[in-house]
Amino acid sequence: MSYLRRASPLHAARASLAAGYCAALILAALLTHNPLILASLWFACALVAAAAGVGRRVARSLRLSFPIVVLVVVVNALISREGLTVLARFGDWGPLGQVDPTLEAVAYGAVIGLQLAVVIAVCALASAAVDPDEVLRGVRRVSFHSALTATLATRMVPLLVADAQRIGEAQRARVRGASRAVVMRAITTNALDRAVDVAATLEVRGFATARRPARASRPLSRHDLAFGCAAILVAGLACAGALAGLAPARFYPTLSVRFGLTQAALAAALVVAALVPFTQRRGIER
Amino acid sequence: MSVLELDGVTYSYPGAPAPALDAVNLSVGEGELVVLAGLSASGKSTLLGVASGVVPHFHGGTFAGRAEVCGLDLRDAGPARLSEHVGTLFQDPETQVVMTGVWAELAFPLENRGYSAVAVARAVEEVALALGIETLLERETATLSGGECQRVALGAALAGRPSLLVLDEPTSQLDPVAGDELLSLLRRLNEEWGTTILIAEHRLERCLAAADRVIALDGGRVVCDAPPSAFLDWAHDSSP
Repeated sequence: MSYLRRASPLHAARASLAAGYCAALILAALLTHNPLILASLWFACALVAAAAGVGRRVARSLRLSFPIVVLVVVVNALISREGLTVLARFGDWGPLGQVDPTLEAVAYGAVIGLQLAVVIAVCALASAAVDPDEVLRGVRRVSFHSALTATLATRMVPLLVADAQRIGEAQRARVRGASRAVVMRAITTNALDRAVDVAATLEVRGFATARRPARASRPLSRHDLAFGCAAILVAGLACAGALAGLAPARFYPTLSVRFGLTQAALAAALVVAALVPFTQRRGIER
Repeated sequence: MSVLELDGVTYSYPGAPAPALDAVNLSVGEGELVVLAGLSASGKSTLLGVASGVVPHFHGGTFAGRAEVCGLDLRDAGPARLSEHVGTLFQDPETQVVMTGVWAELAFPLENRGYSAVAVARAVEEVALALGIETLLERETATLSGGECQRVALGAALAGRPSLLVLDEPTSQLDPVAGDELLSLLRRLNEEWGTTILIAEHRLERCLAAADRVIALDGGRVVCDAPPSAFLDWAHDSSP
């Protein structure tokens, strides 16, 4: 959950445009339910992460997203009353009523799960490749306090993780060891103290009387232009595809998902648009 | 001219049965390096809190008496306003770093004051060179060791060239070598920049040689205010 400085075109682009590029990938994922398009977006995200030198970090997000995908599929299959192709009849489950999972509900759950997996992967990419200090510097011109609060909230995460490791090790060193609940209680209690300490630091660094920072003008680099154009292209392709119905996917009452040449072309176009900025490798050292 | 002037300051934390500071009278002049000595809960951190404005503005509680820091009355000026004149360094390096990169960390207090980008860049370079942390500027704060982290936090406290530097046991979480390095650095800054330094430290043997004056506290009261040699005599006589 922290920024990794790497020599890559994405890291070399200004944070606002890199964040916009990631937002465009998320928008593209949210605008479609077509599994082919979603899979291509996930594939594009994996390639982008590898090209940006943060592949391992994004791969780790897979571990986080896999249980979520499974959970979404299971819950949707149990809760949904739609779909005509019944896979099994589990009878009456009390509060859940009649549980008859359908193929359509399972498929829809899997697509929503895939959508979530893409969003999680892009978020992991953004947290590893977009400089949060630069984002803060940009956003604080609009709303400094909320920007800093958001940044600090995410900054508390590694601090509390370090605390958890220390407290866990100390507890394990005792003869009987300690349950997760004991460690969690200690960390939760500690978190408030940590937050107060960080708040005191902010006070003595002049945060409370912070003035709107001066605008720093800086010419657009080739990487800024490339990622700005790629973001527009990805968002444009996704919007056009959604408006023109190029990748239709209907799940209820029966499955109707189109996997044709048009969909393959759209999927390929999205991958290419996302990867084009990485062809320019000059000036990526920081 | 005095940088810190306390006149009959009595302070109690919210809900505390006894005052943490009890009728403290004190004056710290420009360019002095003053060491605060005393046992735990003697009032050292509270006194430093008054100097940086976090007491009473951040913690609340009951405050009586008059305190003036760099010419500003503590009743009117909170820690944010005082931060233009006072740099503060707490014990724990981890909670004193709020940005992702070292450069951004040093720039943060200056940006809060609305400095231009050029002025920020210049001040960051200056303080980094002065503290010998110029090689850390491109690093992420999460990758720093405890000693490096404390130096960066010191850099952030000094970036705006404060008149008064307040340090609360800055070496408590550092190894002996890093602790000695930090203290010699403080002495150098005190001599070269003329920064007034007020430091609380348990391991007095480390910093007495550098101090101009030692203030000993006990139960929130000043029990000794003397040069290091006289303080040692007093300590010898009062705790056999």
